Amino acid sequence: MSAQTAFGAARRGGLFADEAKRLGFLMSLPAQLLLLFIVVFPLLMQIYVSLTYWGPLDGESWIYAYKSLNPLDNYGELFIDGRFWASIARTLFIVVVSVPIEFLLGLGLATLFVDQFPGRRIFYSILLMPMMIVPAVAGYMFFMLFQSNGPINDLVSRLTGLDMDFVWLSDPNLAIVAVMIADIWQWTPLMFLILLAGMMGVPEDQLRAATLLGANSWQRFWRIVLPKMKMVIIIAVVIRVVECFKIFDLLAVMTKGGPGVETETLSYYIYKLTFADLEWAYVAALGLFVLIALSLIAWAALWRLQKAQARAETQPGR
Amino acid sequence: MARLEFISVSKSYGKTIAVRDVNLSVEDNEFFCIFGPPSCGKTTLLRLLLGLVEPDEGEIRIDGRSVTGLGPKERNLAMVFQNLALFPHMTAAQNLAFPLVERKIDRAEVARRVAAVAETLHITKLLNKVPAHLSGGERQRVAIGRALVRDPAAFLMDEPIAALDARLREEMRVELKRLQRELKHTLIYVTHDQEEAMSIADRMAILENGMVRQVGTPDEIYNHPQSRYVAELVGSPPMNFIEGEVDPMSRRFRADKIAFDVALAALGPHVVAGGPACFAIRPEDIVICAADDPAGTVAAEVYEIEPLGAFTIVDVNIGETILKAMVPGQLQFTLHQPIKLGFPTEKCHVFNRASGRLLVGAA
Amino acid sequence: MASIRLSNLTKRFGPFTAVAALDLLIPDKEFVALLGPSGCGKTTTMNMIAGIESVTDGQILFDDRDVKNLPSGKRDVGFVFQNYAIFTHMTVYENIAFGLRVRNVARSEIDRRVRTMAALMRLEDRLEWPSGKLSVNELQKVAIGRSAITEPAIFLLDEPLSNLDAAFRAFMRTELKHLQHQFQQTMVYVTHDQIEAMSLADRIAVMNLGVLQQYGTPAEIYNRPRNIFVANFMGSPSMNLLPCRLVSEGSALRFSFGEAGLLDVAGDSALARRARSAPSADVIFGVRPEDVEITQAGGANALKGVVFFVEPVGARTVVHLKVNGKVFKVTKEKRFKIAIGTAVGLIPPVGKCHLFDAASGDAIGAG
Repeated sequence: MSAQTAFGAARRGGLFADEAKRLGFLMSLPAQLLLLFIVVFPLLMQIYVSLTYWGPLDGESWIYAYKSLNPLDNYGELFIDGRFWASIARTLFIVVVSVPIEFLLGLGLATLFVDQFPGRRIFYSILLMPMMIVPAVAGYMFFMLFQSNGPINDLVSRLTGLDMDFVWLSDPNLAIVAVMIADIWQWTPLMFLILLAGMMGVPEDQLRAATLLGANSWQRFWRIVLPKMKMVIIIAVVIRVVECFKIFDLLAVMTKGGPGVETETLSYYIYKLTFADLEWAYVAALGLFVLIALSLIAWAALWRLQKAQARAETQPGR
Repeated sequence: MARLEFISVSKSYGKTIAVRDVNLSVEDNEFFCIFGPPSCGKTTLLRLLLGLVEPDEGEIRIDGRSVTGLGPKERNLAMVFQNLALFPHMTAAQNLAFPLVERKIDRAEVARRVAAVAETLHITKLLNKVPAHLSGGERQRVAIGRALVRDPAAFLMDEPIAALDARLREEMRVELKRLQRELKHTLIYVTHDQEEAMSIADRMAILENGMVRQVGTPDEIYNHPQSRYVAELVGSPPMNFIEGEVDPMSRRFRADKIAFDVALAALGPHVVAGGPACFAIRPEDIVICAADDPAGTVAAEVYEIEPLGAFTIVDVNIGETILKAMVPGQLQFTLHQPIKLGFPTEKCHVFNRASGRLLVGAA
Repeated sequence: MASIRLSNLTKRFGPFTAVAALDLLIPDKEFVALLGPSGCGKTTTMNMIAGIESVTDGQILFDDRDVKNLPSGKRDVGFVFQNYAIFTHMTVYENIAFGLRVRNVARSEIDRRVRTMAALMRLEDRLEWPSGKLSVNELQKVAIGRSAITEPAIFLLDEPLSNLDAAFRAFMRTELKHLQHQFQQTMVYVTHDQIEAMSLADRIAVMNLGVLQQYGTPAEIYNRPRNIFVANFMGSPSMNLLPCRLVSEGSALRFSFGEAGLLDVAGDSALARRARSAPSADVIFGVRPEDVEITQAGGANALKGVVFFVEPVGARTVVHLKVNGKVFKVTKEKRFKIAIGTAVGLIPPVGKCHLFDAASGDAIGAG
């Protein structure tokens, strides 16, 4: 009797579970196929093209690219392409300077705004505005501001009493500074917004406990607020690093990569290769190389993070 | 009106055994409590009974009839959930009528039954209110009413009053007991609150890791626990325990680390000389006497005093072992005052230290 | 070590008065409980003492020093929060060390004191644990240890036991009291649980709706409640309160309970003397459940009651009766047996009766 019962229950449960699984699979199948098509197909196409000399001027469909098959030439070339490596170095320079400044400014602003003060809401709205502006428009604004007879030179001259005449956007050393200032202006608000959200999430009672234990505001910030915001800080910085690495639109309006190639970033170089030089097969190889390199770096970073987490979790506990 | 039985019931979820080899029988009209710490299998027992899950082994019978394979609807049991699950947009009357409307019973009959149930539960005046406008106790009654209109064979309740505050809980306890008596239904009541279980149950089952450790009236459970587990779980302040060994020759218990040597009642058959044992006594059974009183057998000193008005809890220190003694009234002690303690033979228990099984029971 | 004097302390939130003109002297090294139902102003009072909440009016003196304008970090108070507010990103060690670290105490000194404190709180083997992995019971010990390590003059505890399971709560009650004797600090303890207040405190301040109802030792509060609120709030089960009329019968005094019967009291007894000072003949008669004797029905000088529920609660049995249609409870020893439906006589001992004015609720003739 009891064996029969157990069998009955198992069969019913099993069947139900199977059916639910199959139904779920069938229902999600179209979405899965679509995803496959969107992600996998272009990637395969890119790999294929990157192994050839195919370009739009060949007058042939990409399918026939194999006619100019040259498996590793493109990859070999990118290693000796000085302009490519210079653009990467320049991009990294922008990331390494801009993102920390954005982070520090954002953190400072968040610290101010976490407390209530009169006019907080208005200042808050004003502060977030740069982020809402279309990057091309922001680029145009700074393009005007940095003209040699523009308001910035004018302001500096009046303040110092000297006749300042920086040609910001055409000076090989100053152009990149102008671009970075524009980037910082536009993206500090995002940093501020994320960090403020994180700071608001720091438990009030723990801060209060710290105060009662005698911690001053600096100690509270250093020992409670910052450690509690660790994850938020990582997220904010990663978002900005990734975005900043792709910097393009400000440049396109302000300098067009110039003077010469002095502000040419990776994105801008690829853009020029694609639309000015029409080197499509080389661009495919270059894009793939950057993708693989970035994936490896991200993977290594994640792996280290996971290891750190695992170490924290294997501490004695329940 | 039903007799409910579990016969060798086991149930596992994956590798976790939720219920193992449970044999229980709940008599008709009984107020039966299932009591145990969190995740001891209480809720699984209810789910098995309701038919929400099927047992892996064994069977469940209602009124002697096996209900294996019957769905929840066919078992005709009513469940009152902890969160009550009242429909917030419906009035009390609509909530009460809901199970009947679902069953397509005609309107006049529905109205008659709702009125009758409201009458029994004293909620006639509340019928037009929505749950948000009812007090905790009133909502409770509506939830019970909704279960009652179906005229179920038995009621099952899963911690139905755990969310209420202490005073209201005490009132609801009395109220539930009255209702059960008047409605004459079998009621299975799951709780993790020992005081609640003790106060309302006709009989109770104590669970540990899916196994039934003891079944009995609250009096049996409190005064004759069959294992250390049961002894520890009921009573507040909790029972006192002292580790040591039994000397079967002199019929005495001696503690390992402290000067504690007391006489015991008749020994059970499982006593082994020198075997590790554990002496136990309830706080209210310890007798406190003056340091020079010959009635006291163990010397101790006062560690802390907790005056609670109706009685006083005296924490006594016997060489670094603290026991709680409870005496009626308001007694005056000073800290570190030397005293003597008496341990009435008929109120002492001894458990096997390893298995926790009862070796020497109270009279 | 400090005494705390609150004088005319008031806190208003807009139109709502949370604490109304509170006067309270908490002597040095005493353990005082602020007791009352939720919303009675006890937590607000404590937050004002700690400096977490600003003061609307009145003074807070620590040893005659006004601390009203001192920031909370400078008041030298230890505070244990109801939810413990443990720093979840730190280990137990770092939590306990926090108060010393922010004071820039030398590393070796911190280490010594943390280990001493951990030993005292029995947390030695938990020191390196991340605090997120502790049980509630352990969190509570960390919270106390963390506050105690800076040896504050005043220790404030906000319902520290309310999240614990019953058995550990009973244990912690004793431990807390013992710790207070060891630390020799002034302790203020907020709770809504009268059992905790009774068992722990040297003195209890009972509050309701922002107003202090009574301040005294547990025995005073329990035995001589100053009004109906205090009488009803203290004790479990709570005091039986029955409305009755006073009638003079020659030299004797008669308490008339309508259908439930009469009680005659000798005219020269203390109870009668107190009753004569009543402002009106309508009084509330109070007696504690453990003081009432149950006898056979029909006896003289006994109230008529009918048993409707018998509740065994472990060490005691609570007998629920109906007297004049109202619930009346009597506690007896465990294993007390009485059948439901039995009519009985109830004798309240004359020396243990309480009288309250029906209109104001104040105790009559209380010292």
